[in-house]
Amino acid sequence: MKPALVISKGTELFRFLPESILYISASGNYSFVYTVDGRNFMISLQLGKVEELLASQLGGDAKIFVRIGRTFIINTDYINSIDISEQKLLLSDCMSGQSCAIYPSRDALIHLRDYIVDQVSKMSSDPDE
Amino acid sequence: MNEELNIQDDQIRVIGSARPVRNPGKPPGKPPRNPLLLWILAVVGVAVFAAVVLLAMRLRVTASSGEDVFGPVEFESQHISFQATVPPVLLSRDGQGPGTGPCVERIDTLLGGIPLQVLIPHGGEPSLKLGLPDAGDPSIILAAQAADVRRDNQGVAGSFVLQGRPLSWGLSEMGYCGIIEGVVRIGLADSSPLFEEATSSGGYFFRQVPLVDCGVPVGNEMADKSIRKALCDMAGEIFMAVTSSRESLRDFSQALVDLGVDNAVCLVDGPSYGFYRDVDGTVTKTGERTGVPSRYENYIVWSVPSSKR
Repeated sequence: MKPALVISKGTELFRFLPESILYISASGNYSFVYTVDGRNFMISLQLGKVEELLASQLGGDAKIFVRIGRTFIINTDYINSIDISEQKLLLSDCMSGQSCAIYPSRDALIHLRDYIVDQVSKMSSDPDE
Repeated sequence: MNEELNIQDDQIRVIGSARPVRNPGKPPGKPPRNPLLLWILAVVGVAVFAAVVLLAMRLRVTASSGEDVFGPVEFESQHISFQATVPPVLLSRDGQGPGTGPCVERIDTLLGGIPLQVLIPHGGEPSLKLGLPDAGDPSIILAAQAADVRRDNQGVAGSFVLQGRPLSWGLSEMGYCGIIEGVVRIGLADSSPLFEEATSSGGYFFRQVPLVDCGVPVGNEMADKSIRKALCDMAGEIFMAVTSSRESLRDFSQALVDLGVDNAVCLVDGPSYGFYRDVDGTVTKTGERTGVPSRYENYIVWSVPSSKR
């Protein structure tokens, strides 16, 4: 079975392949998982717990996910655009026609942009990675 | 939660790494120091210490001489959020209330430094409406944007029932408002029977961000500030609360609890359009109309029943 985010609570079990997750958002004591097919799932876990599960279940594959502030965990593979002036982060797989805009803090967006640029430059300098 | 997993809203963290990333391009370790800033802090620290010593010496002189050297000291009120209920400061009340006919009573109050307008509809019947309500319609005494409109497809966010007809489904937020046979009920739940009840009884239903649940603020960690609006239930009395200053959801929730609200959900915040009519028929807007309205822009409206017009 492929590595996946598996959340089992009570009578429900959710299983998400990493590539199916667009982003996860916090809402009080709950989290919402937004998938690339346009659906969303409410999970009865705080975002911090979801983050722990991602790290423990996906291991090294969890690096594609970045937590932004207290509210979002995004799949960086689906970052389509970052607009600092509008404080907008657009996520899309650019294939299914689904896209989502989220609005984190401006400083967090700047850090995210710098992180992406840093990752690209590392890949350019070490193409074997 | 593990101390290492704490994160601030301006930080990002790669999942699986222990610490938040402030400067992704720099190697991990101690945060960079700014020598100039350290010097400035040192100078300010010495100046503050000197001022404290000087004040202590002067006060010793005052105590021995019996004279008040500086006169009475006044402190500006500070915006402090209290856990316990604090008595609201009543700024004004327009004096309208039940018995004056269908109208909105406005109460301006100050809670923990947050100025609030409380708008209480008297004599009107609540309902939901699609499209812009007409401020020139004398039968409408209060109108405010209710459920959010989705940015992607311009549909209503979350479950929405209009006169018994479901127009939208989904759990956008945990808060809900149901209007069944003229009675407004507000709460927090992922599944509310009010949705089915609204569908079967010709009622109304919408989802929104919860603010207060059974007298307790609902955790809303987003720190962004805006003009906030809420639909509130206090011992069965339904009213709308609007901040006069930009506030975070957390501070707004606490202010509503301090006011004594039992349950509350957000209404569309910021400069969202709305208005109310006082006993003289004067219409006051609570927001501005900007841009082209979405066809699913929706409002909670209190209007005068046709039998009473």
